[in-house]
Amino acid sequence: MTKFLNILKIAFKNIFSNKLRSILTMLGLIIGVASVIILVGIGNGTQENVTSQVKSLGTDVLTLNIQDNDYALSYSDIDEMLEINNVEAIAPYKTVSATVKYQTTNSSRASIIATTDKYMSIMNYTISSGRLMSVIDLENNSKVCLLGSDIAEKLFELSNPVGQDIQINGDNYTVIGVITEVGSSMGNNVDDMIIIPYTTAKYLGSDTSINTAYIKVSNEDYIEQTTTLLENYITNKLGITTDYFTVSSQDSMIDTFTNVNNSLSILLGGIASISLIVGGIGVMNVMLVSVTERTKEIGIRKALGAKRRDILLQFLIEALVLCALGGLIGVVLGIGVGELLGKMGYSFSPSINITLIAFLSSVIIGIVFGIFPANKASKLNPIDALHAE
Amino acid sequence: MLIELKDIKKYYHLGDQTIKAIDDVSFTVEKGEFVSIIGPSGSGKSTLMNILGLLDVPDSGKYLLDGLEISKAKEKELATIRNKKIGFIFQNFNLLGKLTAVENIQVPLIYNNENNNQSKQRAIELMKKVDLEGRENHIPSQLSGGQQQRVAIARALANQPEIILADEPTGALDSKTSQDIMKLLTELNENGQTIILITHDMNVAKKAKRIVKISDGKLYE
Repeated sequence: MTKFLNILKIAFKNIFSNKLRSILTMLGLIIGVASVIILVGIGNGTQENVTSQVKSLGTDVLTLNIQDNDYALSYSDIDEMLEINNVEAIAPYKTVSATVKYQTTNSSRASIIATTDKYMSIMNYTISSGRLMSVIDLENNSKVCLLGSDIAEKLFELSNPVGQDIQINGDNYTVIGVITEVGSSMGNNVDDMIIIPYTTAKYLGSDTSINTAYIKVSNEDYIEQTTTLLENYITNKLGITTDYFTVSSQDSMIDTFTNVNNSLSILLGGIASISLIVGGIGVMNVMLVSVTERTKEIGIRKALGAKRRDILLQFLIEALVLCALGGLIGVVLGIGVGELLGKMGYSFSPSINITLIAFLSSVIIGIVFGIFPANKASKLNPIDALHAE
Repeated sequence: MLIELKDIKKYYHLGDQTIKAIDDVSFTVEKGEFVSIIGPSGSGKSTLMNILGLLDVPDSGKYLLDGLEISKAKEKELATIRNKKIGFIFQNFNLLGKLTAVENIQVPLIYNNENNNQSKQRAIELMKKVDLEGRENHIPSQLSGGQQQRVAIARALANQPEIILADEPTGALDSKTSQDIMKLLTELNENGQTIILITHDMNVAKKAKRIVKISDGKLYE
C-alpha cells in the first residue's frame, strides 16, 4: 500500500514538475473528452427540445399528408373520415404566405393558416381575448381571422385588436380573437401566424384542395389502430397508394427524428472518439520520451531493489494519472462550454452516461497507451540504465 | 563465508574479438571484512562490481552470497536480494534528483514494503548517523558533493545490508571530503559492516584491511 501511495506521489510530482509538457500531452484527451460531451449533449438537448415540442401537440393527434399531385381531399372525404372509429375531429390545414397590414403599419409577410373551427381544440390552443372561429364563419366564407400573440402585438402594440380590421393581401379581415402565446413548435412559430377559415382561403388565391389534415383520436391507446383504419380508408376508398400519403402520429415523428438524431450523434461521437485515440497516442509518445529521459532513475531504482513490476507500475500509473487528469479537465471543460452554449441559445443537455464513458475511455486509453512505454521501462537492463546520462 | 565466487567468467564479444572482462575469478569475503579491489580502468573491476551487486550475471561459475546460490536466482529474486542484502554507493552518488534526502533514503525501505512512517523514521535516524541532521528536506542539488555521498551512504545502509558495495565512492570528491567519507566507511566497518570498495586510487584502497588487485580480468591478492 505504501509502495502504491508512493508511486502515486511520484507520478503527481513528475506531472506537476513538467507542467507545460503535461498540459500539452493532456490537451488531446481534454479536447476529445470535452467534444464528446458537448456534441452528444447538444444532440440530447435538441432531441429533448423536439420531443417536448412534438409532445405538446398532444399524443392523441395524427397528421395526414398527401403528396399525390393528382388527388387531394375534399370536404366530403373529411366528413366520411369522421365516421371511422375513434376519430373525434379532423381539421384540414393549409398555409399560405400573404402580406399583412393594419392601418398605417408597414405591410409585412406572414404565414396564414387556413383551417376549420376544430383546429384550435385539436392543437390545444386557446384564445386570450375575443372568440373562436365558428361553423358559421366557415359556411359564410367570412373574412375573419385569429391572430397569434406576437403578430397581434406587432400590428396593434398595446391596443385591443378584437373587432378591428386588418388587410391581408389588401382585403379587409376582421380580427375575432387573439391566440394565447404558444411558443415555437417544429420550426413554426404559431405566435407569428394568422388563422382564417378554410373556405375563405380561396380569396387569397389558394385552391381548396386539402393536402394536410390533423386528426384527433378519442383515446391515445387507439392511435395505432386508428392509423391503420385511416390508411385503409385512403387506399381503398380514395385510391391513393401508400407511397403517396402518410398518416403519422407524434410518436412516429419523434421516432423518425430520434433515428436521424441518433445517427448524427454516433457520427459526431465517433469523430470525437478518434480525437481521444489520437490523444492517447500523444500520451504514449510523451511517456516513451519520459522513459528515455529517466533511464538513469530506472537504473538507480533497480539497483535499490525495484522489481520489474514496480517500475512497470510506476510508469503505468503515471500515464493513468495523466489521462485521468486530462479526462477530468475535459469533463469540466465540456460541461462548462456546453452550459455556455446553452446560455447562448443552443439546447444542451449533458448525459451522465456519456460523461462517464468519455472519462473512463480516457482512463482506459491511459492504460492501453501507457503499457507499452511502462513495459519498455521495466525491461531496461540495470547496468545500461545506471550508466545512462 | 559471506561471499564466495568460484571460477566466475564474463566475456564480451565485440565483433570477432572476445574481451575477457572477468576471467576465471575465485574470491571469498568473510563477514566483517573491508576489502579494496584496485585496478586501472578496463581491468574488469566494474564488471566484477556488477556481478557482486547482482546487476549482471556471469557467463559461468558459481556465486554464493550469504549461502544463497545467485546464478540460479530469477530476476525477481535478484531484485529482492539487491534490496535486502546489498547497499550500493556510487561514484556520482546516484540520488534521485526530485526527492528530498529523507525520501531518497526511504526508497529501498519502501521497496522492502515498509510503511511510510516507519521508513521515514528510519531515514531520519540514518541522517543523524551520517551527520546530516537538519538537511532532511533538502533535495540533492541543494547539497554539496560530500553531503550527497553521505545521503547515498545512509541510503545504502537503510535495509541493514550484509555488504556495502562502494564503487569509487570518493571519485567525484575533493581530498578533504574524500577523507571524511573514507573515515565514515572505516567507522561503519569497525562496527561490523562488511564493505567491498572498488577504486583505482591506491591511497583510497589502503584504508581497507585487505587489498585485492585486478588486472585483465584476473584477481591477485
